[in-house]
Formats: sequence, C-alpha cells, structure tokens
Amino acid sequence: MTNINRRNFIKLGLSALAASGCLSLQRQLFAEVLTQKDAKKRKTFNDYKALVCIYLAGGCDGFNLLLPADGVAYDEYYKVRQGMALAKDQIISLNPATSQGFDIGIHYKLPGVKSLFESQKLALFANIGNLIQPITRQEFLNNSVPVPDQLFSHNSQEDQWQILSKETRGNPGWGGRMIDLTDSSSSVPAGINLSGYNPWILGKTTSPYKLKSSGIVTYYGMDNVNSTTDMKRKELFTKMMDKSQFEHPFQKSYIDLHNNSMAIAKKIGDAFNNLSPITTTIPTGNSFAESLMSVAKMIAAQPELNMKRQVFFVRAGGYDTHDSQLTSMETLFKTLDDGITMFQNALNEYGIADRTISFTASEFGRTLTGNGDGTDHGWGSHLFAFGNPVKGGEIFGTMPILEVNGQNDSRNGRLIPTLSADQYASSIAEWFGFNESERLSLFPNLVNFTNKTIPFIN
Amino acid sequence: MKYCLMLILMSILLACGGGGGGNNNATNKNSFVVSATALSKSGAYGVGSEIEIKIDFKEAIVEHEDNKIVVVFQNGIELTITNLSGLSILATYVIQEGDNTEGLKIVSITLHGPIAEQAGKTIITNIPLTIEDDSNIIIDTKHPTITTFTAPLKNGFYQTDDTISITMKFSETITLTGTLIIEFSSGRSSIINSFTGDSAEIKCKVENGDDTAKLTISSISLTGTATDRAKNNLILDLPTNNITSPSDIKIDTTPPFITSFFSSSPSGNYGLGSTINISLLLNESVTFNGVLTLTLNSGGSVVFTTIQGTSASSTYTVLNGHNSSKLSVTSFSLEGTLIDASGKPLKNSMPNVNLEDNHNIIINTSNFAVQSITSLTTAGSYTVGETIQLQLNFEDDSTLEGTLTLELTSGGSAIVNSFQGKQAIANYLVGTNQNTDTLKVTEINLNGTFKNSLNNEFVPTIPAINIDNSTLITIDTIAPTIVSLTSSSVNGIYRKNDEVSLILTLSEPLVIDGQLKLNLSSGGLIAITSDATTALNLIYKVKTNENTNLLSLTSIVLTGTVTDQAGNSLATDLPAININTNSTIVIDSTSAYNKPTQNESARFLTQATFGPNLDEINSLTTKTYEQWLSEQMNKTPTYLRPFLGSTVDADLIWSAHVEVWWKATIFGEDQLRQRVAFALSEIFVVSDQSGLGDYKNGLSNYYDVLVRNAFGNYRTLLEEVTLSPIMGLYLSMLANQKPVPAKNIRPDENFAREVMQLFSIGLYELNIDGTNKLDVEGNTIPTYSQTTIESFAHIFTGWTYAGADNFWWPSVRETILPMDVWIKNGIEEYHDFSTRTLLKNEVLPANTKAKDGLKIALDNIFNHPNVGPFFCKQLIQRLITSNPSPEYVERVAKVFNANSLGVRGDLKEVIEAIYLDKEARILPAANSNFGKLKEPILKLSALWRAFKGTSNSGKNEYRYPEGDLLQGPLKSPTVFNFFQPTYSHQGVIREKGLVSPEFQIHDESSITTISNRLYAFTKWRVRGHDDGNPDQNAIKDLMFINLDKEKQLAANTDDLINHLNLLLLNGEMSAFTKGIVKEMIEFTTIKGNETTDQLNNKLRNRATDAIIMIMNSPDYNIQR
Repeated sequence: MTNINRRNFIKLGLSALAASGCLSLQRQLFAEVLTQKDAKKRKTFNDYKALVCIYLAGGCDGFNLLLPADGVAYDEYYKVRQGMALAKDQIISLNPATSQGFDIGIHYKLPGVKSLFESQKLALFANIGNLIQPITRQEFLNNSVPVPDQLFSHNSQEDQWQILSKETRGNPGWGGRMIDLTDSSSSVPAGINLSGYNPWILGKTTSPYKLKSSGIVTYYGMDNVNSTTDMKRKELFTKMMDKSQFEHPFQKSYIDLHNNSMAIAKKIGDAFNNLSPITTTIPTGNSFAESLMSVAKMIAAQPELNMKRQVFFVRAGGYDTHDSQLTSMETLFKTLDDGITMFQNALNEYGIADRTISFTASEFGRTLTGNGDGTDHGWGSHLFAFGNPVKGGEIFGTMPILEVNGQNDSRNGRLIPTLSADQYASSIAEWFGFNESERLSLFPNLVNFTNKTIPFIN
Repeated sequence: MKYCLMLILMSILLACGGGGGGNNNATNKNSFVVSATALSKSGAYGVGSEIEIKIDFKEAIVEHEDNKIVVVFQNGIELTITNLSGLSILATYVIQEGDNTEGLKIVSITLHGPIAEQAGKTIITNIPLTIEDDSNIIIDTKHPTITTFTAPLKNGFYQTDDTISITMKFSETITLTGTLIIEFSSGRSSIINSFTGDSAEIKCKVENGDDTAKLTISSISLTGTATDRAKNNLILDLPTNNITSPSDIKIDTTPPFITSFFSSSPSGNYGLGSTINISLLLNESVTFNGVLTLTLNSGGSVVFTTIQGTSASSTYTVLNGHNSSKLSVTSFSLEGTLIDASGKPLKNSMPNVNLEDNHNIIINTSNFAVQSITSLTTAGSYTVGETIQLQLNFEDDSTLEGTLTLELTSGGSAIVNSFQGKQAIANYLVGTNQNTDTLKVTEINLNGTFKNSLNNEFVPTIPAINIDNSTLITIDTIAPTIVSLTSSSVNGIYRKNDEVSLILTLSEPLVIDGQLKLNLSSGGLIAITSDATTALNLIYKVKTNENTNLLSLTSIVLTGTVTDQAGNSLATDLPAININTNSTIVIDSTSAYNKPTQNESARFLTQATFGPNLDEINSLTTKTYEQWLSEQMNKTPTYLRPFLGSTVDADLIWSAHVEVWWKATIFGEDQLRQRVAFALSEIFVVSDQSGLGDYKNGLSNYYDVLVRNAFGNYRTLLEEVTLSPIMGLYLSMLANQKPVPAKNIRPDENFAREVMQLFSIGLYELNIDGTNKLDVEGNTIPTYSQTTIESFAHIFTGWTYAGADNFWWPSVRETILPMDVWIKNGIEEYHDFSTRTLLKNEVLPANTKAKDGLKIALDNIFNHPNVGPFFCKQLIQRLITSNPSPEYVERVAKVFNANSLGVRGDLKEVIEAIYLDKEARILPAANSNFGKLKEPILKLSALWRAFKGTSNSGKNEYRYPEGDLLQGPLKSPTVFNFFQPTYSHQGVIREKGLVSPEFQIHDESSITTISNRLYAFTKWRVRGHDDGNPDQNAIKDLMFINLDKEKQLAANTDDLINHLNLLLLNGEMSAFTKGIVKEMIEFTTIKGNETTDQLNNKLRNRATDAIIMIMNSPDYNIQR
C-alpha cells in the first residue's frame, strides 16, 4: 500500500490542478482568485437567517454526552470507560426516531437537550470530527490516507474545525467565508463574535464585530453630551484615529479597532434599546448564557440593523478535561444546558426561533481510555445542533464501537470520525443558501465525501 | 460306433498284468460275449491315459433302451455300458490316480435287458479280458521326485575356480526333454540338458566370495518336460538332503584385509609429543607374526606387532615436522606373515574407512606467532603519561611463562607478562621524548618460554596487522604553541562595538574543553571555546572600558583543557609575532557616544522594564546599556511570595497573587528581571483561570521560579517549571500514573504535549534563524509524533505532591516544594518503567527511575536544536518586536546554543543579546514594520510607574485586570497564552505577512475597555485630589498617581508635552499627535484669574487629558 502523507497528497492534488508545480505560488494564486471573484460571487438574500456556533473549547468528551443507556451496549461502554463512565442513573434515556439498536441516552445534566430533542428541535450527531477524507482503521495505521495535520493538538485541530480548508494556517474560517460570499447592506458586520479570537468567524474580506457577552461597551469620557470636555475629547479622539496619518500596519489596525468600536457600538446599542423586554432571564453566574442572550438580542434587532445573514460565535470553555473530568463535566454540561434552554426560550419570545440554527463544535473528542482522573485529546466525538429548522429527535450517523483498538479506533481509544465536520458544515451552508458547487468550493475537502450533507435540516 | 464307457465307481482297478496276458486269450464259446479285448498297445500308462476296450458279441445286439452291460473288474468295480447295438462295442477307460496294473482283470460281464433275453438270459461270468495283441500294458501313476544332492568332499577348502560336481538323484529314471535350471543361494545357476536316467551331475564353479551357504540350491525350475516312463511329471521339490544339510564342504574364497582405520582419540589439534591412539579392524581373524606399519599423511607412522582377533591398536606419537590436515593413513606395509584360516595372506589394499572418515585429527607441529597486534586504546594522539593498551592476538590459547617485550616505533616499549589465553595485553606507558606518527611494533623479544596449547614454540615475527592497520595511534609529546597573533584590520582607533579582525596561528590544531583566553592589552579578551585549527580568524569586539594605545596580546590563560590532539597542553608563552609587531591598532571605548541619550534611555526602559520613570531615564543616560543590564542582573530578586504575608492560602484574599505581582512589578528595583519573568510567564503558562485560584502561595511561588531563573539556565528553568506542583496541577503531570490496562488507564499526555509544543521546540523543525525547515518538497517537518508524546507521557508518570501521604488525594497539598516521586515500600508505584523513544530517536532504556527518566527526557528536549530559535524568538516577540528579522533571531539563538563560555541555554547572555542587538537598539524608520502592540497590562504598569502610583496600604486592589485588559499575571484563558506568537491580525497586518500576537486580545470590545481602564486610573485616581475620601479604609488599596511634576509643567503646553513625550513616548511623538494633544491640553484654558483650587483642577485636567490622549494614541500603542 502506498504510504502517503497529507502533504504529498495536497501537493499531488495541486499539481493536478495546474501545470505550475510550485506549492506556495498555487496557494497565492488561489487566494488572489478568491479576492477578485468575491464581489461577483456575493449572494443577495431577502430573508433572514442566523447561525450560532457554540464552540466547546478544549475538546468536549462526547462519549459522555451521548452514550448507551443500558444493556450490552452500556456494558461495553462501561468496560472501556471504567473510571470515566457514567452510572446508569446518570443517563437520561432518549427515544430517537431511528433506533441505534440499543438503549441510548444523554448525560443527566442535559435535561434541556432532552426536551429540545423530544420536541423535534435538536439533532444529535454520532462520531463526528475532522477528516480530510473517509479513513478506516487500517488505512490510518498504514498511514495510507491523509489525515489533518497535528491531530490531537488543541490549536491545530481548533483551526482545522473552524477553517475546514486544506491549509489552515492564515486562512479564513468557514463562518467568515460564508459571510464573505454574502451581500450585506448593513453597516454592522454580519459576523458577531461573543468570545475571544477565533478563526471560524474571520472572513478574508469581512471582519467580525466583537460584542461583549454583556453587550456593547462605550468609551469613558466621551459620551456625556453635557460635558464640553467630553465632546472635545471625542472630537479629538476621532480625529486622532486617522489611518492616513500613520504608516505602521500595527498603527493602522489599532485605529481600525477604535473606529469600528465607536461606529458600531452605538448602532447596536440603539437597536438593543428599541427591543421589547422579554421575561426570559439569564441564569445567575452563567456568562455563556449571558453571551447567548446578547446573540438573541442581536437576532431580534435584525430588522432595525437590516441584516440578512448573520453568524455568531460563542465559546464555552473548560472542556479540556485532563483531570477531575466527571465533576467538571457536570458543571460544564449544566452551564451549557441552562444556556441553550434560555437561548431557545429567548428566541421564542422574540419570535425569531424559526430563523436560527445553533450548532455545537469542538476541536476533538476525548480518548475512550482514561488517565486516572480524566481523559486526553481524542478525535471523533458526539455533537448536537438545535433550532426550529432542525429536523430533531434523531441521531445522525452511527454510534461507534466503543472498544480500544476496535474497528472505529485509530489507536489507544481515539476514535476515527465517521461523519466529517465538512459534511456537517456543508449541511449548514446549504440551509444558509449555498448550492452544492458553492459548497464544494467553500469546503475543499467535501469532494472526498459521497454524502455532501447530513439531512438534519428541514 | 463307439460307446461311452461310464465309470460309476471311483476306483476301477483295471488290471493289466504283464504276466497274466496269456489268460486274456481264454474265451467261453458258450458265452454271448465272445471276447473282451484291450485295444491299447503295450507300455506304461499313467494318470489320464486312456485304455481302449473292445467287447465282441456272439450276435448282433438289437438296440433297445433297456439294454446294458455291467462289467465287473476283479476288485469289484462295475462299469455299466448302455445304448448298445451291433456285434461289438468300444469302451474307453481313463486312468485315475492310484490305479495300478493289478486291477486290470475283468471278473464278469453281465448283460441286462432284452440283450439278456437275446442271450438266453444267461449270466456270464469269468470272461477273461483279452488283449488284441501281446502288448504289455502297465499302469503307473506315481510321480518321480528329486531325492538328494550330494557333492564329493574335499580335504580343506574349495577355493575359487574349483569346480564342485554335485550329483542330483531322482526316485526313478526320468526323461528330461528341455532344461532343468538349478538356482543357488548365491544367485547363480546351472543347467541340465535333456537326458534320461535316475541321476544327473551339476557342475558348479567356486567364485570369489562364495561360501558353503551360497552353494545351497535354492530352487529348481524346468523348461520342457521331465517325466517317468508313464509320463508322470517330475516333482521339483527340493530334497531334504540338500548340499549343506549336512555338508562338509568348506569354501573360502576371501583373503584377510583391513576394513577400517580408526582412533579412540578425540578429534582435535595435536601438537608435538602428542600421542594418538590408532586402531585397525580386519574382516576376519588372522594369524599374525611380524610387524605391520601404517604410514600417515602427517609424515609419521604407526607400528602394530600384535593383532588379536579381528582388531589391533597402537599409538602414534607426534614428532617434530609432522603436520597434516585431517589425519589419515596413506599406506601400510607388512613384514612377516598375516594369514587367515584358509592360509590366505593379507590383502594389500587400503580399507574403505580411513581415519579421516570418522575423525578430524589435525597434526600441527608448526611454530606459532602473533597473528595481529591491535590497540584497545582508541585512535588518536597520546602524550606523556598516557597508556596505550595494545592487544596481541593469537590463534588459540597460549601460555607465556616469562615476558614478551614489544619495541615500538616511538622508542618506547610494552611488556606482556606471563599469561594464558588467546589475547595478551601490553600496556605502553608513553614516556618523554617519545614520538611517532604511526605507532607500530618493530620488534618482539621473548624472555622465558612461550608455547601454544599444542605445545608448539613461539616465533617472534611481526604480524601484518600491526596496530596502525586497525587503529592509528600517534604519539606526540611535543606541546603546541601559539606561533603568532596578527591583525588583518586596518590600523587606527577602534571604539566600542567596533570589531578588530585577528588571526591566530597555532603550531598544531587544538582540542578545547574549557577555554583558551587571550587577554589583550586593552583589557578585552577573546575566549575560544571550541576546537581550533592552526589558522583561526577571530573577531575582537570592543566593549566598554577597554582601552589601549597599542593592542597586543598580553597573556594566555587556559581554563579546563586546551591541548593538541595528544593532550599536550598549549604552551602559554607569548608568540614571537604579536599584534603590535606588525599593526598599530588603538582601542578607545571611553568616548561619550557610548552613553544613551534621554530618548534612547526611555526607549530602552520601555523594552526592559514595566515602564520608564524620569529618575531611571536620567540615571541610564550616565551609563551604558551594558552597565545597566549588569547592574540589573545583579540586583536582589524581588519575589512575590514573601509579600503575601501568610503561607495559608485560605487566609489570603482571592487573587492575592495578583496583588503581590503588582507590588513586585511596579516597585521592584529588579525591573529587568521582573520584565523577563513576565515574558516567561507568557511562555511557560499556568493560570488561575483553571481551578488553581485557591493556591495563591503556589501561584506566587511558581512566578518566583520564573523570577529566580530569569537569568539562569533554560535547562534549570525547564526542570523547575516541570516539577512545579502548580504546573503539575495545571497540565496534569501531578498524579500522572502509569498505564493500568485493566482499567483502560493511560498516562496523561497533557504536559508531555505542551512541554514540546509550547515550552521548548514547537511543532515544526526550525532553522537557527527561526524560519521553518522544509523538506525537499517544500513542506514543514513535524518535530514529533503522537508516539513521541506518549513516550514523554509515560516517562512523566509517578509524581505527586512532595511529602504526600496519598498519591491522588493527600491530606496536605504541598504547592511550594517541587513535586516528588511517589514511593511506597521502596517502589515507584505509579511510575512506568518501559523503554521509550524520545526526540531524535534517543532511547530511554527500560527500568529507568522516574527522576532519572525525567532528567534524560528534559535533557533530550533541551538539546533539540529547535529550542534556541523557538524560545528566543518568542522572548524577542515579548520584549522587543513581533516580527524580528531571521538574522536577529539567529544572533540570539546562537548565544542560546553557546554563550561566551560555550554553555548552552544561558539566559543571562540571551537577554543581553536580545537587548543589545542592533535591531533592538537602532531606532526603526517610520515605515518599518518593527515593533509590537503594547500589552494592555504593560500600559497600566507604565502609567503607575511613570506617575509614581502608590496606595496608602501598599497593596493594589486591581486584582482582576483580565476583565477589562483581557490579561493579567498567571491569568491566561488557556495554556496557549493570551495570544499566540503566530497570530496575524486580519487586514493590513496579515496582508503584509506579519504576525501580531498582542492583537489577539484586542477587539472592538477590549479596545474600548482597555482605554476606559486607563482613563479611569488616570482621571479618577490622582493623589491629592481623589484620595480624600473620609472612609480611608475604602480607598487604602487603591493606586493613586502623583501628578505634582506634570501639574507644574501643565501651564506651559509645550513643557507638558515635551515631558510626557519623553516619559511615555521616548520623545518620538509625531507632529500630528502633538497637535492633537496640544489642542486637548489647551481646551482647558488658563485665564490667570483662577483660584488656587480652580487652577489646581485645571492643571490636573490638562495633565490627565494629555496623558489619556497620548496613551490612546497610535504613536503610543505601538512600541517601536
């Protein structure tokens, strides 16, 4: 069997595209072509859709999110997870539309997930993750099929998940790329980032706006209309943020940030102020939920902001559970569950639930095996997506065989995904309004998969 | 018509007596039967023969179905004949086994049926059988047989070629028509051709190898017929009386001969004087009277004088000159007689089995010599006092009693003392004045006896392999010298940082393990720390306080060992040709230009401290950067933990470690150390954001590890970081246990991965300048694989809190002392002892203890060539610029790889190299990409330091800077720090291919909160204005800035701007920014009629407005 590493594969692929064999030149050409065509490719939409990426940072242990609830399957689960296993009474049973052949359930700190699942608004995804193309255990062991670079490394796989490109470094994320291709007449960016830096929401030609979880922030000493000093300070501050006066690229970027902040914060602030109050409240001490509430407000404010397509990024951190996993997961899942429950309620109250899909993502799953007190970086995992457009009550994909060195295992309990993040993203992009040829160009690895979508959206 | 004669009884005796033939003629005239006549001719008739009988009647018989004749023979047998008609009938009788002549006589012939009527119902009896003629018919049914084989006896033995006449007797006369074939046991056969008689003669010729048994007749076969007179066939069964049973015939056709030579001595080598048993075997017993001599291929012979039975033994004594490969007998000779029982003499032929067929006996009487002389000492040059171990190799074990003296080309000698074995060791102790390019043995002298295991004698010849063929040993007892030190630089005055090129000429190459220090007349020195060729190009870079009128070499100082290849120390005599012999090089470093200006000082302090203040700026202008660095590095370190005031975490407020961090960083005299430690904390990341918040002592102590090691060695730092219980908790190496397959437990990979990815080598192989190495296809090369991570994860098992009473949950969690290996009953209970492959395929052997394994693993990481460029580039990014040139990185990385003494990982010199590099020191052009976005927390510290921030209590309540500033000490959201070194901000930065790590925490939201925080701490926290709260307790921990100086200057816009320009902007404020700031200051007009309070407020507002505007300016925010 030919031993091929990913780079060789890419090189071959690119060589096949054009006569010029130079890798870096190819990449450059690709980038330039994209820029020139961007304007032409931009699509105009008349309806509104919002997409919320809920990123479970650190690598969420999906195997304790969705798991066998009873019977032989539970015994196998217990056998492989041992100290990391949930007890049967810590599992809420689910009744999916299509049986996986055994009793299945979710972590008991996810009653909201169960409720959404039962009301057909939440779909689960079994064994999903980063892939270049489908790969079997044997192919993985033989190194005969390319896999993403630096599997099991946080930042590399986070980039991979969020960028879904053949080369991740420096490329825009797929959330941002979709926005690049969307015509927007609003002066507020279509990408709204509720968390720290993330590649997913960065476009090539568009930038996101950072919204604090608590909402917009304004400058001290500039907004008191009764203070002439404030007014003067604002005038001079604005005057100072003049890119033409500075040569250093860092100074120009610094100025951009201030200018964006000043311009956009006011618009959003005004729009928020015009929203009707709702009864749904933010769970105490849950900043994740607080972020989602800001997302809900942004979505609700879209008529005033004249938005058509929006993407949101919300990070829920702490999933890198190398130790104290069982107890940490309880807190993490409770925070998550409370947050999404509140979010769906808020969307319902604002009357915009039909236009929003939220999906979870995570750089990788955990190892089936433990390290005594926690788990290490794995690969495939289980995730979920929810929202009114979602065809809920179903588990998409096949539950993997939970066995170390079994047929789904790459090695030492790092399961090989059987659904790819590309298929997941492509399904979302289809709902967002991109046809198959557009999606094949959005997701370069999608061509390697027979099924270009997962049919989880109505 | 012929009538069928039916035999109704089995045994009709048809008597046919020859003698009674006359009676057959008798007729009874009254009888109806006229006669009964045998028609067959005279002769003997055997079984199956037919006798034809004719019966004549008196008158013709009328055919009637009931007619029958019954003939009764003498023995009572009846013959019934039916279907009769006519005057006579013919009947045939077939002779049966057992018939004989006597029975052939008819007793009666009886007629029955109408015939009887015809014949007058007369019963006729006693009708004699009449024979037609006078033939004599004899019935004979007995078969002839072979009765005996006999042969005449002979006196003695039948010999070869004798003919034995064997008589074969038969039971009666037979007639052979054809051939009888007689087969003997030997396989041969004889034939007997047609004859008639009762015996026959078989001629049999004795052949070689025949014996009696072989002449036994084994079978007889017949071609043709062999019958008696009645044609009965000869029975071919062998008679019981065959020739051998019993027989006295003796046959001997074989002479005695030797069947084999063999030996009872074992296979092996035999030397002089050895005796070897040699035996022979004969095919038969013999009578021997004489001497049998065997000639051997060794040149020797063996003599036999007696032979008993069929065998004989003798011994062969090896004599000088005897040699053979496999010993064998080449011939033999006999004197006297050796005969067998039949008198045959010994056959003179070699046996089929010779000695060599069953033995491997080697005769070797040749003298032996040294096969080869090799050196156990490695190739190289050696000098006086060193010992060269020579090895003499012999073919087999040899015994020396006495001494062998080896004379050597160097003039020395080596002695082999009495020994036994295949190898002998001769130690050669190098003496003075012994020299040779290639050490060889020239002569070997034996004193005593020296024999090999075969007892053969030693010959002192010099072997072909004579040391140098295998290992080149050079003996060199001559010390190397410095021949000359000259300059290739032009004559003239050289100032600080100028470089003088020097050429050092040596008498021979040097091996330097330590350093060769050339002290110059200027006070400067050149240290040579790596091996030197005979011509060395050196650079002497002039440093502070180095001055001389004429540069010359004043002394040569050796540290460690500085030797030639042989280990002769370099002679430290000054060379005859010194620099000043041919050059006029003047050194003058005292010129004032070596001291920085105020602006340069401010810029330097911005890079090297938590923010300049006026005193520090002015102080630096009086010295050089080197002096300042040196002073800083020698300052007593300010540690965080002693500031905490309690070692009980629970007694401390939350984030107390941040409070003390502010104290150290704002007020610590060791600003450089604090600044570097903070940079290190952003590389070796631990964070209170991951459940470590409880451990204020542990976190402070972790930071103190960074403070303490900021100018130490990276390797020490790496180990202290690794073993810190706080790092152990953060990246879960603490209580990391060996695999438990039954529970599916593997070692935790968290620390193993990040120590490589983030703390030391990064993901991809790097060039020394920090750029990625590429393979032939232009791709990056991973530094390690998942397997490597698993290796380190296994090695890093078995550690927990020091002094723990439980591996996982000790009653006391020791967060200060380094982690320790958990040992129970002398066993490292949770440590994995398997063998592991590290970076660059170094292998950690199995059964390595946890501590040893950890050291080997950290050494392995430390020695990876990536560490220098990977780590140094990040330090430069943290301290100086986001995008250092590859050359800058390379210059610093080289210092990391080897400091001035050749030591790897010396952070002191690395820090010096970073700050003193021309790329850091030369003010970049306006359009340069040099510089970095200031870290938010460093802007705040700069504010407090520039304007003398203090709190009443000495504490600082700002313990959660991460809220607004998105960073704080030990508060990174992940191990990937607040920002990653490769982050490239979208837009113009990324388009230019630049990285901008600090931008990762700057977004539309934080850009505002950072700005707001500076605003608040400037505008609302002025000493003398905002500290007058009646509830002093409420404000005791708040930091207030002191603007007395600024207020003094604030009446004059330019004075204020110039002052702040120096303090905050190194005097580099652009005209554009100045215009804005001026407008801001002068918005507060001073009319001259204000009250003191009013004026004070206005001056304060002017100062704070100016500070806020400057600190928000693009000029200020990018550190250049």
